[in-house]
Amino acid sequence: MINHKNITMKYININRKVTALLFILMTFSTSLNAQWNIPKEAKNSIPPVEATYKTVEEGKVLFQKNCISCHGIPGKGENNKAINATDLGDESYQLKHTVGEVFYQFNTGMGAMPSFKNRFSEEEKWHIAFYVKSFDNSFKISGERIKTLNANLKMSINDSDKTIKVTATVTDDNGSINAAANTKINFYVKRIFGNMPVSEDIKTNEDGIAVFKFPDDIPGDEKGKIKIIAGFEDTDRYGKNTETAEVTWGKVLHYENPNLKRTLWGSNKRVPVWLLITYLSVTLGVWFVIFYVAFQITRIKNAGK
Amino acid sequence: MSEGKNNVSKKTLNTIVSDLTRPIKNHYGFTPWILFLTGIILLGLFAYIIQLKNGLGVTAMRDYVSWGLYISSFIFFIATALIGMLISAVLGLIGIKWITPISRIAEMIALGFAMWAGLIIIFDMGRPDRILNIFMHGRLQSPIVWDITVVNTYVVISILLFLLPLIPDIPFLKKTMKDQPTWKQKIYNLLSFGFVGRPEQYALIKRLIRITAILIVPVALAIHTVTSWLFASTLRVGWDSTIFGPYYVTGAFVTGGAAVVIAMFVFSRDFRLKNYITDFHFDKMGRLMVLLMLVYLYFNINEFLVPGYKMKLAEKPHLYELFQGDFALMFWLVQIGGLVLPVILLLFKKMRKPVPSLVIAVAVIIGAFFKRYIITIPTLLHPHLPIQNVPEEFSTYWPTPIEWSITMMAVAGALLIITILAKLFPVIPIWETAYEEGITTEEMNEFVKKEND
Amino acid sequence: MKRKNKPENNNKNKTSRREFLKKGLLAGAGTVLGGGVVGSFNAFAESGDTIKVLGPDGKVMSVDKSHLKEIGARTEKQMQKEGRDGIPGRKWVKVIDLSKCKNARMCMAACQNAHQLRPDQHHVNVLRMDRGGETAPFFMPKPCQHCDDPPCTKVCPVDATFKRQDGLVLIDNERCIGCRFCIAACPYSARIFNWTEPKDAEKYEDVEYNVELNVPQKKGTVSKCLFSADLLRIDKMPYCVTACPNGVYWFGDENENAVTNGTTKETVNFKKLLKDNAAYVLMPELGTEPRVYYLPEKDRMFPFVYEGSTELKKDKH
Repeated sequence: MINHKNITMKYININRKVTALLFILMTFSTSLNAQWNIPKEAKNSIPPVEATYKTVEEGKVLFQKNCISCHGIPGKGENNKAINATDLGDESYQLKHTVGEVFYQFNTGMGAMPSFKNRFSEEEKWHIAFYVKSFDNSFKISGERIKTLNANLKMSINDSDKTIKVTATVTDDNGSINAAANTKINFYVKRIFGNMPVSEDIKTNEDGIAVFKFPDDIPGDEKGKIKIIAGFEDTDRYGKNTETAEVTWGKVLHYENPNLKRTLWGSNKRVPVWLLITYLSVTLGVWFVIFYVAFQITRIKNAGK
Repeated sequence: MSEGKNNVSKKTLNTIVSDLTRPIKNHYGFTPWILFLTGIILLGLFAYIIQLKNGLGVTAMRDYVSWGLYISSFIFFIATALIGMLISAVLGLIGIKWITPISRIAEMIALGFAMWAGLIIIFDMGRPDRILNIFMHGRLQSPIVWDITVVNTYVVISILLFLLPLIPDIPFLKKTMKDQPTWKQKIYNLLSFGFVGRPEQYALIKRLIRITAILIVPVALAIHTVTSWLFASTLRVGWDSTIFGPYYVTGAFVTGGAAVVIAMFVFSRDFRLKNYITDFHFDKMGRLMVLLMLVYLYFNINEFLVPGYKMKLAEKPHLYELFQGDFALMFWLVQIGGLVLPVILLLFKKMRKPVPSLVIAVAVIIGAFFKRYIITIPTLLHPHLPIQNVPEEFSTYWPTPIEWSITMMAVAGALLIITILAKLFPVIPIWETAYEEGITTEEMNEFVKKEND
Repeated sequence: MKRKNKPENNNKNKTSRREFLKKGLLAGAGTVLGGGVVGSFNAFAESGDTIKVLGPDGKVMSVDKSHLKEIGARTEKQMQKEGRDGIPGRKWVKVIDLSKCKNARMCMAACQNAHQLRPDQHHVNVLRMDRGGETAPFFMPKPCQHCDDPPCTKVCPVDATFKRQDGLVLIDNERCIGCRFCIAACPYSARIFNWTEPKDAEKYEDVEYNVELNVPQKKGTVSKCLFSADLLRIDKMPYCVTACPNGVYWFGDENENAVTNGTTKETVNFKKLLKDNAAYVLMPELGTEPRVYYLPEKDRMFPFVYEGSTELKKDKH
């Protein structure tokens, strides 16, 4: 008896182990570690656009959207070691790769690294390469370094026409306040897992004022409540200050618990009426006859008297 | 008068009673048979304990083929159980006389297989310890709940339909079984329900039999239709069919009919009842089988030709697998060996003699068993989305020895119930047989009383 | 159908694989106790009655019962009730961008780690598909579709698997009787069964069962993708969604009409995303009304390569 059981268990265990091993090998065996083969031309290729602080910034925006999921912010060791992604801020990487090589890698892709050839314009790709190389002190960036200003946003809400007026100001070193003119302001609504942009191309005027007309089709909660966030697009220049306002301009959520309906897929407490009636009438009907017959059997004796 | 009657000389009540009760007293070969069945059941129990301890992982079932031998055996058992309804209810109600000696056999088969069908479902459960959840949290929307309701109802009605025609036999048993152990006599006393053969009592019992026989027809149809819905209510290739209800019901009649033929053969030989279950009855059963199998064949053609003609994308791999793939051998053996050939053979009178009938019935019942297997397994091997990133064993299925042991336990268990019933009660109703021989109820009462003195 | 699971001819990176595994396991481990175990334990009186709960790192720990509330943990009864009710006002939805999937399987690893699954048990499975004829192969992650007309909950005899008001289809392993009707009924093969003792059963032996996590897994019961209902309760995205390195998964609330990318954390208009990308659902003809949407495999980020081949090895027929 014991033997039989052990054999069965053993069989299962071995089976499981082999399976698990095979599976692990199969799953993670994509060529993460293959070698880059960068042509010489790439090393010395000259960017068609100039590396300035502005283009580096453009590159940074793109990098943050497309690259940090694997590589992390360069120099911070946030790279995904599991798939052998490089920390692009690492000295060993920077010393080995010219901006042309970075561009090549980004353009071509290899192994786990996708090719971004068709996803961005040539310029954009160079911008990203500039941003990557900006972590190399010897890499030359022309133009003036951008200095983050002490900027502020003020929101005023107009409920009657569902607009938000934003006044953007910059406080300079002397403490005097000036309008932040001609700069892009982004508006977001708060959603459960992040802020969803709802505005396009809204700029402040000469007086630092921008007006945002809230769209009608953004869902709010059951009272139409919604949180609106405003911030500068150019966070490097104006900082990451945001302003939040709560309004009731959202589409009112008409929430109905679907589980209160009687459905075939619902719980046992919500049986469709037709089913309940059919089941009960058929079952009770049949069992009534059964009990009738059973009862009549007990009367056989009486019939014999 | 039917031709069969003429072949057999008139029997006296005395012969009838002694012929039909003799097997109850005579235990020749009984002990080895019971030991054999008990042995299989013990082996199955042992296998079930292993399964309980280690989980259903001891079976060959995995995430894709998640229903296997147990469920296909379950349908087979339900199918076999259905014959009780056809023979003793439908044929009885329309006044067919030749079923008298086999109606109780059909009822015994129905009882044995229906009861074990319920148990097989428990063997298939991952958590049999939670079986009460079905009553505590039952969902009326689930076909399983309908199935449980209807299986239990069918078992109860089958017991009634077994018991009612038995009651008028009890006085004969009481009188002839005086030399038998007291526990047996107690059972007879209990089941006599005070029946003493008064005309009012006969009238009442006949009325109750009629009510029960009528009642069992829709319930029996429901039991197998609902069982087919366990499959037809899913969105699976091969199961998603609107004719599954009648397809299963007609298939069930074929299965049960074959089971009855086998039982007829065994009882007529082993219990020496050749004078009661005669060539005439085998001939009639053979004709009935031809009819049933032709109807079933018709449903088979519908079930496979229509989708096979269209070859919808989702069904293509499944049908190819059946027609010419891994399951082709089993499929064609079952369809031809278990259905087409038997029909052709049984058309010949010679083939409706007892021995050829037995051989054909065995072929049909084996075919019927694997037909359920073919309905269950290949469909699960062909899900809508590919089977990937799982071990090789997930995309194949062949039952393990544990599954076979437990299934054989169910078969042995059903046979054990039939054996016990056959050893407690006459397999052929005494009073109905006597009545057909022209013996009146008064004569029967007389007989019982005389024995009494 | 039958595929050999053989490793590629890449022998150099054994260490990296091991590291990868370790990482993968850690990466997938999420919080169970809401914001995690915070605050000082000493501040409360011990009742002396300890229970085992899952810590924020996925590790099992013993906690005095009197601390449960303070650390945001809930008893099994509470978890059962809340787990069955769902989160009012929400309608969870997932969008899977097939153009970005390269079979990295980080989602599968994170999921298996979070839900106490062996490597051959999949709540989410990355399949290799094509659309017939000469069409090109692609990778398709397949979680539970959390259908709005779920064929699986329809057939459950004991209300063990159920649909919540926020759209999730969950399974209660404490109620499931293991009949596997739901497995047969699911056309997406999204359900798995604990045929034997689950992985690390001893470790989780006395842990309070969490119906929103299916942990501890129970032998003889069905398990399935839960959209990480435990994380949604604390406003976090599912394990698979955040584990993806390639931006395949978008997750959000249909009522808010917004989905957030698990990789880039970008939040966009849900319906616009579907419209702009010609989104579709799997097997709509079955009438199951899935809550998982797929964006077609157009303009792919990665070529299809599996076991060194760019072709899809055809199943029989």
